[in-house]
Amino acid sequence: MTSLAEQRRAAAGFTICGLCGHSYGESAHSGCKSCPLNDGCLMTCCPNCGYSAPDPVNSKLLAAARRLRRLRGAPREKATT
Amino acid sequence: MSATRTPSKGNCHSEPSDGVAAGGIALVGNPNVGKSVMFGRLTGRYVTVSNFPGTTVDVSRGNAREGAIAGSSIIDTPGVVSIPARSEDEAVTTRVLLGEPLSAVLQVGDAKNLRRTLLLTTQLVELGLPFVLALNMHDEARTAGVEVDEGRISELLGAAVQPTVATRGEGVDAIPELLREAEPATLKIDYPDEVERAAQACESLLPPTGIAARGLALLWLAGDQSAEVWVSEHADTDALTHLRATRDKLQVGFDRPISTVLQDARLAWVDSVSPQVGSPKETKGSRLLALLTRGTTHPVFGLPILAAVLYAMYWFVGVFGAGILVGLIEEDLFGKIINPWVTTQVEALLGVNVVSELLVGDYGLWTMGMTYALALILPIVTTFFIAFSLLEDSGYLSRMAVVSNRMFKMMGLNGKAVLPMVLGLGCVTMATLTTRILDTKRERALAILLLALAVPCSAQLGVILGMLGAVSFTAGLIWLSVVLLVLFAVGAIAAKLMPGERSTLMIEMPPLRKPKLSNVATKTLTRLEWYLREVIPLFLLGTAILFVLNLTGGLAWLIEVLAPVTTGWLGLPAAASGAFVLGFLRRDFGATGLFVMHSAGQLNAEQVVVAMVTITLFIPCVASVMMIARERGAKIATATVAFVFPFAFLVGGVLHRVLTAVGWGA
Repeated sequence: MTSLAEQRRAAAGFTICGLCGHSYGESAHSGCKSCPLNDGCLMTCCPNCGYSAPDPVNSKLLAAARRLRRLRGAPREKATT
Repeated sequence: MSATRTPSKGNCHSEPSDGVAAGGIALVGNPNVGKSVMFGRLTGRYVTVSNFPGTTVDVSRGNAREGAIAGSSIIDTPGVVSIPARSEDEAVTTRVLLGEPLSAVLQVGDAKNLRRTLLLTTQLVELGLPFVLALNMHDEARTAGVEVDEGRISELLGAAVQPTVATRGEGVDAIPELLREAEPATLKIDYPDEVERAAQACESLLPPTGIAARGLALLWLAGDQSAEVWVSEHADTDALTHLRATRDKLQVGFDRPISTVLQDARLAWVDSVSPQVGSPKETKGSRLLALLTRGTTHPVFGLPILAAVLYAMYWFVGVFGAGILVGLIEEDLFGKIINPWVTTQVEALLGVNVVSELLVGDYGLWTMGMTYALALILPIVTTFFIAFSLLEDSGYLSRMAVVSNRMFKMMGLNGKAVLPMVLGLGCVTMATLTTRILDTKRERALAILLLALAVPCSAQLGVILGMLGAVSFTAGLIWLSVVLLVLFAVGAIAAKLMPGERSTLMIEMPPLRKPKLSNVATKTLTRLEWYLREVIPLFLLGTAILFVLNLTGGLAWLIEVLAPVTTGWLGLPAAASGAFVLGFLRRDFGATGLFVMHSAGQLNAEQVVVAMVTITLFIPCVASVMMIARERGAKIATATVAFVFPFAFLVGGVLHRVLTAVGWGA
């Protein structure tokens, strides 16, 4: 079971779909389990329209860029991709 | 936050409720609207999660912990996009609504995605159960500049509407009381007369259930699978025969599925009330955006806007990315500084032998594989991903889909089949999966064929278009025209083969907005990482295969064997066979090989266009073929590849003859 705290975290950082503009917390496409690339997949799927885009949560490059920004003293910003 | 409740005027098409304590409360809503958070708020920590009988779908159940409904059972159903269900998860939700003893339905809706929320509302209120709408994520709606008029929504629905922010618990305390007093909503959507008559005929034949007879009749007419199973199990044989006959007779009168007819009527209602219930705050900027919004999807003005956007992309990706940046990085940085240095170091360390050849030779892992990936592809995909992220973040991508859909419609192609192709821009493998939404095996096979044939994912599209852009604008235009022509021709032929199965493209359009720099940067970086992680291993594998083929004489043999096709039919130099070998692994790898040949003066503009068209129509990526085999079986996968491969060469050869005849690019 997902704890309430985890549910809140999931709901807090939302993603905006590049195709339909739907806001979602985490990928919830029911078809992902059938995908042959599911295990190593870096994509996130919009639960509304199925459009997929790389998941910023798993991006090491993005994490490195954010660390670099913080080192330079830039304020933290919530990603809303 | 205070609730808005319009006094019920009664409901002519539903049975009275037995009170909240008599049955459970179903939490229903679109995916990711905060249902589970709301469930947690209402039930507390002690819940049970188990598979819904006969499925692998989790359903959470718990008891309301306090307030007016303390002790009542609450069921957290899987997110549902639409009814009839399109997936196992959605079917479970319909089964809960049909089969569980329910005293009320609590819809959790996303306040900032109001149109989508209300579309599901229209379906839920038809079930005739006591109903409450919790408009969740109110804080995000405010941030997004959406002003929601809960009072007006409540009036229109004839049901209680409560604004909430479930993550912070705001407005949730009022929900138990509203559920205790809930009554069926009074909204009634007017469907075409034939549908109304058929629904009334079905109502008298259907077995009694916990939901309104009209709701069950509409589910039956729409062909909902859960309703089909339930009715088949509960109705007697005579009634079942009559029910099926009524539905079949109704379908004959429409050229699209009944579910689409019903959905269109609901959508028309939602669109008619949307301006009254929630609108973005009006500013000078928003008026200009509203004008632009209308212009981008306008049947006439939409096309020149699309052309201007594509031209801007050509300039940025083709001229700047593939021309200027590649020139600087590939020719100057890698060609004059990095590669000579790496070659010297490797040869000094290992000497000149097979191993150093494998690393820095003509088919070396560094001099070919990594140089292709970093010096040629990286600048092009970076510029393309920036441009693509701008399209996404501005909300224009969905408008491109709408304008393209008009063109597809003119060719007679089914609107539903266009959606997987639009999704293919994100990932063709995933788009192949979404062909499940298509109604017939034939439609699914067609969409898969079109995806495999002429829809490269955005990254491959960017590389191919960028490289052609660097050749000339006309080269890119010819490539685009031929690929679209193939898509339309195959679509039109297929549409003729399956007449009478039209459906509309259902796509939500976000508002046009000024792209946010941080969003564009985030999208670009995550895409770049995804792309490089995916292609570099394949590029290295392809280079190693070429190296081994070259070493063993296999490449020379392959070039000789393929010569009748590459030189005779396509009019390319024999060495282009190597690029086609690379294209087997990935289209963009093959395209890079061709681009390098063009840069070295081995291919003229005509030959580049012919080769790029052939590569584009070539075998899709390995993952897509695996997905086709998994989704539709090895037979369809083999048939698709068997069609696509020779067809790509056929089109390439015909294009070569046409371009030669008109004397272009030689």
